[in-house]
Amino acid sequence: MSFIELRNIKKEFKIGENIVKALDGINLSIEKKEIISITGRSGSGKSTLLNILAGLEKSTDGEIIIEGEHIEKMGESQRIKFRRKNIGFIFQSYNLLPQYTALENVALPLALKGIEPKERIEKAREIMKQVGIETHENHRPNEMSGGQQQRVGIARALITDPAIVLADEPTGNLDTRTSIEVMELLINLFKEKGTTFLLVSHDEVAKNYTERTINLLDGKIVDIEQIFRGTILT
Amino acid sequence: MKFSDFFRMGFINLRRRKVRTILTAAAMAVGVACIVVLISIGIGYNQTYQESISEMGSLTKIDVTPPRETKGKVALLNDKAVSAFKKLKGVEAVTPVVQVVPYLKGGKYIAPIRLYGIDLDTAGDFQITPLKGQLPLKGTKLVPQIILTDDVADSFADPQTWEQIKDMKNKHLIDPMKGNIRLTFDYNTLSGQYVEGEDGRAVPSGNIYRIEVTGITSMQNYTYSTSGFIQLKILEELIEANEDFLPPSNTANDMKNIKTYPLVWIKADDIKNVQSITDVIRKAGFETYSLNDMLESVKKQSKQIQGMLAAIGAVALLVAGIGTANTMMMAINERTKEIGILKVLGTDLGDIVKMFLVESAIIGVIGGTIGLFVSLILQGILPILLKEMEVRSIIPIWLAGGAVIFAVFVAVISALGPAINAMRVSPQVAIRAE
Repeated sequence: MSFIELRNIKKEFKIGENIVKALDGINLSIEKKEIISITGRSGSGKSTLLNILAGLEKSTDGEIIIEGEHIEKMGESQRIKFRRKNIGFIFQSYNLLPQYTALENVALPLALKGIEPKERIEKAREIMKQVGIETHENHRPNEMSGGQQQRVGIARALITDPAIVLADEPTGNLDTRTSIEVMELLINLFKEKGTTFLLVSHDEVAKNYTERTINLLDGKIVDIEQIFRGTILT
Repeated sequence: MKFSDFFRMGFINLRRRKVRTILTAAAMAVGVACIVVLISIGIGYNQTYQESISEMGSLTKIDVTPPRETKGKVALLNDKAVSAFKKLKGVEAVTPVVQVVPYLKGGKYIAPIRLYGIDLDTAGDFQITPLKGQLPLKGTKLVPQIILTDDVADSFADPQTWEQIKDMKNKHLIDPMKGNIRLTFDYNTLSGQYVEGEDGRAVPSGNIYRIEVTGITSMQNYTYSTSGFIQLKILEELIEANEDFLPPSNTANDMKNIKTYPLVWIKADDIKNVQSITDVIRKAGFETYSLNDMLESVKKQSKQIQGMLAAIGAVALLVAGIGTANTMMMAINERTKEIGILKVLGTDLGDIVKMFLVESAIIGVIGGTIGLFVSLILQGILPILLKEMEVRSIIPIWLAGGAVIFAVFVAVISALGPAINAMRVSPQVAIRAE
């Protein structure tokens, strides 16, 4: 069995009298350390797929197995616990908490785990250095540029050393140059740490960095592109 | 999450919305101040009552009288009963009491007094302590030793006019301890009037006894006005010798040849035991009276007043509670996105609830403490503002502590609903909201 196994995932929404099929039978296997991008037009169901993988949404039907565990059978509390332990999340709009400094935002997942302030601050500093944002420790989100905020967001996603990182349009709010910087940072980090990375994007830039691209249309996988890249980003 | 982190986060979040936090805490403070001030006034009333009652005499003294019901088998207030009372828990002293009203004569002046025959060993327990001189020793029937209250000297009057010497500006004309004081049970003997009996012969007049006044005691704020105290044994002998001159009710009853007493005094060691002692004695069939009975009814009344005042205060606090609930509800509506992010990052559901409860509890502590300070200030100001109503505010420690704890409790209860709503926020919907 693969690291992540999606079997016949269906997600239906009821809008008035109509039933909208956001996902219509997705089957997908993902190996450990794989770096995958999911692309598709707006409304193709790519964000829904990511949310279901993260356990933020429940699928209407199908099985999601991560490392042998059935996510779809878990209750909300269990899913939260699972997510805290295994999954990091990076958002398009960064979603930093405005009342906290960059350092506090990065350390937040460790606080939620009940780790001592001293230890989590130390760890946060270390990871901020890795993403190159250590100079902005005491800045609040509204005092930073989009690129800087996303670096903080990345640091926050990585601080718990998750096996899987999910990113929903992480470069969607950034200009091209910053997008490239952020993507390069992400791919380098995940290669180095051996993290499984799933990236939702309709951005062509993102596609260039991943090993496999899954194309969605109307809730179905229409195309899987396997790209063998020997020596990108050395 | 660590408990200290809940507090840190709570403070950060409250500081973020300073004005709203202050307003909510202010509402809480008004509620707490209301409830504390009103209860403290109730306590003040209670205290005032208690003080004015204890001015009327000892709150630990119980008067026991024979059963009112005289038919059938009745409890006898005899020596057996007295020794039984002595064994009751919380009883410090017991004495049988016999009262008569003889006349004292000093020079040409006469004073009727209430003469109590008691066990003088217990005199101290019933606040009969000499201001001058000493308690009577055993004495004899022929020269009885008596201790008088301090108002007896001024109550001597001229039998012709019944004008008290006190009114004649001849104060202290008679000093009982020095004067040649005599005592009789027969008024006619004093006036020198000749009384004719039914058979036309002169009725023998009563004896006049020379008494020795060994000391003067306080009348205890009219508890014992114009009274004298004498050893019970001696009084009983005097009564026996003068039965003809006394109304029958004043003599010690010889019911079925058993000597009973018209009255027994009991002294409780603590005011707290008075109720239990009277309960036991009443159950045995006797009648009791104590100032504590009055206090109990006053207490009951003031408890009702306190309850009413507290209820008014509670309404104020309820309003504050609704305000807090509203604040937390708004805070949660504003923060759905933040809650969503926290959920995505893996915050336990219980921790989300706790976060909001702690935040609300902090408002409760701040509001409660401010409210308490306001009440302490009002405690000083109110008696001046409401001078004519003689308002008195007493804030004991339990009220001060209880008020803050209650404020926190109200705040937490108010936030419970909103906090559970927060827990139910869907993470994926929340993070989508821009």
